[in-house]
Amino acid sequence: MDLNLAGKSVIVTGGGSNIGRAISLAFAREGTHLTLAEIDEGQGRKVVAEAKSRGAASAALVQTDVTRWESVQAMVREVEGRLGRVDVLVNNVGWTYDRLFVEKERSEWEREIQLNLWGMINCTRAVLDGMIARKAGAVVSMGSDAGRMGEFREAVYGACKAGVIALSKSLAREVGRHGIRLNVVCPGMTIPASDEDFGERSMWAADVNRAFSTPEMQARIAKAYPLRRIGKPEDVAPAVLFLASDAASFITGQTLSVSGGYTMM
Amino acid sequence: MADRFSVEGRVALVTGAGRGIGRAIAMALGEAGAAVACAARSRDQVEAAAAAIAAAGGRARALRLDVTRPEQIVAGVEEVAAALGPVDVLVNNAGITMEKPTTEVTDEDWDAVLATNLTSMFRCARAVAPGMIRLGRGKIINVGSMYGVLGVPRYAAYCASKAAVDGLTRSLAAEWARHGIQVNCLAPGYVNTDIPRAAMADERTRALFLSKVPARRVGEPEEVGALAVYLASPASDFMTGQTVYLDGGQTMAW
Repeated sequence: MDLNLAGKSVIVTGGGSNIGRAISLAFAREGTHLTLAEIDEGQGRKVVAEAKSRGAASAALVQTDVTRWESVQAMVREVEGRLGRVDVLVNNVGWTYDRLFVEKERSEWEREIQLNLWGMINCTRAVLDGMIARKAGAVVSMGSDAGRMGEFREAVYGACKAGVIALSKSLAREVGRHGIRLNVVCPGMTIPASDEDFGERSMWAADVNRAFSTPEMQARIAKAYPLRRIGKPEDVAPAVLFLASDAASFITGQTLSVSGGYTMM
Repeated sequence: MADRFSVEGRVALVTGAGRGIGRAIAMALGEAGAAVACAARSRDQVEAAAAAIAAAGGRARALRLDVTRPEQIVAGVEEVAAALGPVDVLVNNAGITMEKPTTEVTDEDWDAVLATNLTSMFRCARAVAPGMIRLGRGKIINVGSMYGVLGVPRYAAYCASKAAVDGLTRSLAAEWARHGIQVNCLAPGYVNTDIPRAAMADERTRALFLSKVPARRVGEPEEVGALAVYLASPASDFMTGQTVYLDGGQTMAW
């Protein structure tokens, strides 16, 4: 099935690391004009080069801090100036520390809310004016099963992801009449295959999250999934491409768990 | 990436493929490379559906099948396996609808809706699963409905049957995940086929229906076909037990 994504202008936030990187490279292979809105310049440049070699019509890095409204506005202005429009926004930036709620510092909650929720609000708000004017657009945001059913050690993160889902649904109602669709994909735990696949600002570089990288830990986690394995970044990318494409033209306000059957709701 | 959305070399059995959504799903799977067994009660309709797939360059076979007859299901699955190869994609689509005040619904009415919309899905899944387990892979797509989560008056049997499809989907998904079989539910809203078209024939009713759809339109059968291809292809290999609503945002069920 051809998704007809060639030539579309696609922004992937946090497109330099792990799941974001896999999504970026998948869009590159479809021949899109790809923009990485990424805070890590080095990692962003690396993935832009990879995207170019894999068939992107064009690929550019726009260094962006999604938690800062001015930075996001400047990024979207740059893309609209360079490519004329934004067809697809993928809100991929995400962050959590693996820690019990009562053991977390307030600063860690605040960082989670900034990155997981404010980042999504800022980026979505910034692309909507152009999408409404052109009566077309697709926003795909990364949620989490933690936001659907709650999860140990992911309380505030889960709350943010529930917020991403609710915000997507509310906006889907508000802007459906303009031909704009918003959907959410919830990956399971997705651990980078190698240290090359994420930058130093990725959550996977944080010491507390490195504990997941041991084979023993991964074997334990895999047992929680009916499909009996941990998710790979490549598992999620096709769902994002599908929802971003015209193949999903009547699907909006939906949340899709691509997580090996971890949640079935 | 496009190759992950291909179903080249797969054998698909689509029930209720004679018209409407089922026919669109069969066409889309055929276009995406699958050999498609088009199953339904009407010989004329399944032959026309199979001919349309062949005319578009695909591989198809017409199969007369009444999904309420268990012996026909077993024989049909064997016939498809002999003609096209073992079924690795099952689309449980056959269904009937019934609108009636519940006080007037007879036992026979109720049983007919449940037999076609629910029991047939279990029987078809049971018939194809051993082959899928042998292959170590398989995709089962159960066609549900947004009526499975909306409370719609005068549709008790239909709503109950479609809610049950969700339960069937999750249970089968959990049971067969270890065999590489993914089971998901495709739940359409109002789609441009005979029944909704008739229901929305006058402008006022149409406007009332559409006022509840954020996208302000009905879906097209081809849009359902595209979702079926995604759910039948390797692109959805890590997704199981899910219900995907294709309804222009009407339900947004949690």
